[in-house]
Amino acid sequence: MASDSGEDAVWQAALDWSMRMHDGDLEDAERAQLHAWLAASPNHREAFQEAERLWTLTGLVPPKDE
Amino acid sequence: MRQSKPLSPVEEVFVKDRIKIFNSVLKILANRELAEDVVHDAYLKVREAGAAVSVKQPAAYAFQVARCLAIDRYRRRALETGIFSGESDDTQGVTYSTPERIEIGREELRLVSRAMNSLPTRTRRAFELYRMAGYTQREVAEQLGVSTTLVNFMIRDALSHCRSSLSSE
Repeated sequence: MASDSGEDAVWQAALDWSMRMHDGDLEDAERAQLHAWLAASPNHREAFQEAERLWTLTGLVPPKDE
Repeated sequence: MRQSKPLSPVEEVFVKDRIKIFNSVLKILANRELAEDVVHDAYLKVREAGAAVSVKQPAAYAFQVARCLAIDRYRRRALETGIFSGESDDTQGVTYSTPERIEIGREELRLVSRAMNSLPTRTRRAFELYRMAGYTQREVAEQLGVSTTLVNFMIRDALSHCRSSLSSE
């Protein structure tokens, strides 16, 4: 939805980190940034864990056209 | 002795092709002990998944699950090593760690699978190429003939859609 709430911004940031991790090994500087982001707020940690959980779940869905 | 329940086709793949699955996981993790653990985790997860999703290609599915879990494990470990190799361990008293294994439930998987099935075809395709086939966003964009920005948007959309399917139970 078009909600610009802070909650949505945190979720988008969590998705962003999850995707960056998936795109390849993080550089040391990026990893430090991620750690800082996670340390900054329990909401960040919760959102990131949720993104990771969804990431795991989607990996268990069989492909559509197989 | 008879088994109480016959193995599903995917579980059979784990028995029959165990060494091949192990080797594909070992290639990613480069650590035998971890690879063993991931194969076992994959086996437990396909057993759960069997009750939630329908699998038409058991062999392809078994390898998909094992490979995805191996890559996820690799990434999460890489994230955690940084916590200790970085500066001091005085990060405002907060240490973060992802669980090594993420437990999943059948019902959750059923909801996520349904959410994936309701995605627009192109979004689903983009997500599968990225998530399961392991292509980069740019490669997915090339394959689908769309911009990388759109691919990035479609992947976010797919994950957010799955997320709302879980929160609106």
